[in-house]
Amino acid sequence: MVEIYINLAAMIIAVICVGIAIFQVLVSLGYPLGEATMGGYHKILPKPLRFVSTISAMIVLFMGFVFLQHAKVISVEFNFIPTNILVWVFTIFLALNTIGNLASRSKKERLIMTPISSIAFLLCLFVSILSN
Amino acid sequence: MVKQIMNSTASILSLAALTLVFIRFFFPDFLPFLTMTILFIAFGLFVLASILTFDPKRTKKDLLTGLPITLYFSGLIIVLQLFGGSTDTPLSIHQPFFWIAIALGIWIEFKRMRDKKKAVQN
Repeated sequence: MVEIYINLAAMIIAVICVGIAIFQVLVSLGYPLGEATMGGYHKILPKPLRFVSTISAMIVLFMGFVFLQHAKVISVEFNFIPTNILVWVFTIFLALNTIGNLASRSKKERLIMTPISSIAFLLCLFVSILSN
Repeated sequence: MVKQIMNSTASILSLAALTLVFIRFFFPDFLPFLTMTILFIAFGLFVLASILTFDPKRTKKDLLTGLPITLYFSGLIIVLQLFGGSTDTPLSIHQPFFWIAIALGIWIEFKRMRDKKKAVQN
């Protein structure tokens, strides 16, 4: 029964990750959504931060992939990724990220990103703890 | 004002639920009627209540909560293991990853708090 919950949580995490990745790609393409990310200092991100945004999108997609693989929702041939360690790395990262979003100077970042990252943290912790 | 009190209460209760999650994680026999699923549901509900009553206006409290929360949970995980709790996950105090994560977390939060304090003063 718990496995179903873990699979469901991993799938929701993956959906959140894809959503955030799409958002980061849009920001990196120059769409005026920058107030909700990177501290909210720029409406349209400058080029160096657009590059950071692209990297963030890739990391977030990788994160979703790791959780899906860890929960065995998907299985891939190259099974060398240490998902046991990575799920904890991402969970701790999300905990710090939630605290960071909460204290952001941007009202939009606090309003949009804090709820998203706190839900993602909760689900990641759920998967990390119950799948061990 | 009422919303703020509700938000503070929900936030404190969610931290309490998360504390119980960690206690159960290191001591699976602690309060056996409180299963992990129940604790996570409680944690989720309190987080949801905290989100719904969240006021996006930045307060001084929001700026200063990061470091104490990081220190609290780092300390909690260490103390629980010193009291005999054990895990083979990267949260173990015998894993270098754990100490790197704590050092990094405290450094990030300390830096964040210092920058925010400076910004408020200016």
